[in-house]
Parts: sequence; structure tokens; C-alpha cells
Amino acid sequence: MKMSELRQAILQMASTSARHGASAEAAALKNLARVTKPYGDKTIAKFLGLTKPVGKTRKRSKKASKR
Amino acid sequence: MNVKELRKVLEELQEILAAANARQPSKDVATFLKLFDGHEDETVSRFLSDLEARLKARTAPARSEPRAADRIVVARYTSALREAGIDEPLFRRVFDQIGADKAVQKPEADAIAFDYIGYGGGRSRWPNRKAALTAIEDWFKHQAYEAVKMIQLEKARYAG
Repeated sequence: MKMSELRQAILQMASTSARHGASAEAAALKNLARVTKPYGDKTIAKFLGLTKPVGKTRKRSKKASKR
Repeated sequence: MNVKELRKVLEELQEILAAANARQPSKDVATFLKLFDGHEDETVSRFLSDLEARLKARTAPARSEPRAADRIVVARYTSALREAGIDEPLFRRVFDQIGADKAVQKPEADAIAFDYIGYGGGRSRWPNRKAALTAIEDWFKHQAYEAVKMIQLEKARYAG
């Protein structure tokens, strides 16, 4: 599933929420859709990879930490 | 609204997809929900601004190459500076012209300094236009000092 497809689903949920009067929920969903908009061509896994902090170090293996 | 509530809404989406037998999309949404792990107590606006900052840090565009200098302007001023030699009034006139010329932006100032100093004394760029102009002025002062020193040495040699 691409981020663009997920974004469409999120926007659908936002419009449903707005119709039911849950404006805070709709606003939050729309905001989430806005943030993910530039990454429409990415897969969800790839997008999650991009959200990891920059320069995150790899966890040291048990063997390496014993050394 | 906090992240926990937003997560619940998206969990509903996951459940709808699962109920519709859309297994893969349901799994994908579940993967996406990992995004909220550890942030449940944050407000949505705070979480999203942090997320945006992280994404921008990862996908910042590469710095574009600086604009190429106008070689005609550079050649004109470099030759004028060289012709001035160690004549301070002449140098000042050219230097002031460079400073006032709108055609001399940072790329041109860098190139003039680079050519005048003689391959920039090891550098081709300065932090800004002013720094490049200061480098030109410093190089003139250095050359003038060296020339005066040589004249004094010559004088001392012939006097002795």
C-alpha cells in the first residue's frame, strides 16, 4: 500500500468525522494527511523508515558489547 | 486531541479493512500505527510538528551549486587590480569600484579574490562577499609590505 492510498483513506475518515460533528478528530486527520502528502509515492514501510531520527545508531550486538 | 485518540480512529480504519477482508491494506495500516508508538500522551499538533521536522531532516534537498561568476566582470577587475600593483591610490580606486559595483555579487567577489591572490592562496570561496573583498585588500597590503621590505633591503645592501 502506498502512502497516497493511505492518505486517501485518512481523508475519507476525516470527512466522515466532520459529517458526524467530530471537528477535532477531522482536523487531526486532515493534519496527518497534510504531513504525509509529499510522501505519496513511498510505501508505508519506507515512510516509517524516514521518520526515524537522523543518525540513530545501530544497537550493539551482545558479542560486540562483551568485547 | 491527543495521539491516543487519533490512533483509535485509525485502528477503526484497520478494523474496517480487516472486516472487508482486505488483509494486506489492514496489515499496512497496522504498520503505519507503529508511527504513534511511545507518543500516545502527546497532543496531535505537537506530534505532527515533530514528525514534520524529522521528515524534513531526512529528506532535505541537497544544497544547490552556487551560481557561476560573470567572467567578464571578474577579468576586468582582476586585471585592474594587477595593474594597480602596489600603488595604493590606484588600488583604492579599483577596490572602491568593486565594492560599489552591483554586478559584483558573491560569486564574482570570490572569483576576483581567487584570481588576484593567485589561486586564492588555497581557497576559492569565502563565507560572504565582504570576506572576499577583505581578502583582496589583505593581499594588497601583504604585497605592498613585501615590496617595501625588499626596497629597504636593497637600500641597506647598497648602503653597506
